[in-house]
Amino acid sequence: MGQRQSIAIDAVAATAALKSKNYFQAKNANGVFENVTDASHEANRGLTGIFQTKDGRWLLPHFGLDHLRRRMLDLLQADANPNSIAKAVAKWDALDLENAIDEARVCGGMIRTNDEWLQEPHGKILAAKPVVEIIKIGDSEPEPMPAGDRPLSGIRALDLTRILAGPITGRTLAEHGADVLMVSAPHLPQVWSYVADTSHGKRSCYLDLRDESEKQTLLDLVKTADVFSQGYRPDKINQMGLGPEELADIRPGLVYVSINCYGADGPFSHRGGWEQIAQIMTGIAAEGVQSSSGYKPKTLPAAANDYITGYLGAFGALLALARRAREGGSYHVRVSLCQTGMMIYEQGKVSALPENLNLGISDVESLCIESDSHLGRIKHLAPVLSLSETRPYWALPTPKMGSNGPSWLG
Amino acid sequence: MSAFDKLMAIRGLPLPDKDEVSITGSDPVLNTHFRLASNSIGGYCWYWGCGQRSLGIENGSKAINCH
Repeated sequence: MGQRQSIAIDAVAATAALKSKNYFQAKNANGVFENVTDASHEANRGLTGIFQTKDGRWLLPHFGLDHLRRRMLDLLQADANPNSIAKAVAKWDALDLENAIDEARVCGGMIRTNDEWLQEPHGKILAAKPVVEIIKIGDSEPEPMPAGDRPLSGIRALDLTRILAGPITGRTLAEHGADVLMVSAPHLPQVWSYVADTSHGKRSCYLDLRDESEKQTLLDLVKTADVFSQGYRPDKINQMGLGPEELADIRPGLVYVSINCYGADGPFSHRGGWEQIAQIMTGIAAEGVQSSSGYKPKTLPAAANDYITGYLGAFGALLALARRAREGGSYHVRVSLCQTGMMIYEQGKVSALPENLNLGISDVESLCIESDSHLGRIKHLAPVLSLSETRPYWALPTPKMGSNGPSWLG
Repeated sequence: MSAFDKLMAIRGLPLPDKDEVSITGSDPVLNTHFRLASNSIGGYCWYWGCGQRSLGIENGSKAINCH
């Protein structure tokens, strides 16, 4: 047992971390900090909402990225405005539309109560699993943690994730000294404001995995990696030839982290999803609000499933690395937004709710730091945890995408 | 079972000593009845998991060592 550390965390800071992207600012032409937003994503978010169906149920169609918006509007035969979408959704029974959304490979679903979710075959499968799964998928020799002055010094992580939950796993590893290399490509859709805030401490390279030689470059990196994280749908990543067993054959001792919406098993596991989808499926949104105009489901005021799932992915990776150090082996770490949503639901609710709880930028000023980046001077939420011996920090500023080569530091 | 306890069970090791962990504040912090602060702190439990107990300095290295 090494020297122990004391730890401090504050509830406000921990909650602010669930809205981290909302606090990312860059200086404008006048030298004043202002929020960085992605206009395309904001427009798509404006369409994503909860609408009533013909059978009196509620359904959320998700429009998070441009190609998803186009496909969803085609499916609904609607225009890109909430009124048109509401009219289109009202022509469908909820489960019929959810199934059509599934067939069209877009994202959305019927709002379920927690009881309904736990009666679903998929809900039953998730309920029988731990919120973080760590599965041994191969043998290898034990590997001691590399020497260094930070907890994850010398650990190499490949990050193929996008949007929020997956990138938070990599950002958390970087917070403690891991060399985290994002692997993306120009043709892959991104939410640029999210990229900016989820990439602190990482580097970024472009590899087009449709090209065999560039895919081989990735596989060469895998041979010397410790962690590989990805957020593709399970069927997609296997089609790409980048499944956990295949990569563990290439690199015995690899810790492979899968981060997705529905988890790896069950009838919904092939579906894509977002924060809001986990909320509507697991019963969080169904708690809803009662007003003079009646009941309506309601989503949370933070991307809690995304961020917490990201932290849990890092937690699982660390446990697997520790197990590798102790007994050897390759491991598959599995976390999902729906598992996290179920955990949040299980924790119950507070009875009293004061007014005006929104945690705006002015409320978290003391929790923010400034740094210089390719975006100029930026201000953003700092790591929210205090450790007595190894202060968490990001050694590198958020990078310009594709600005690094496909190689490790040092 | 709290989020923290649930995740500690996955870790499979005893809880840390109380004087090694300082948690200030409580829910609610945002406009929801769900306990987002508690769950977020639970999500950070890996600092306790492989962190507090074992993110120790060993042989000159602040290495991870769950046992």
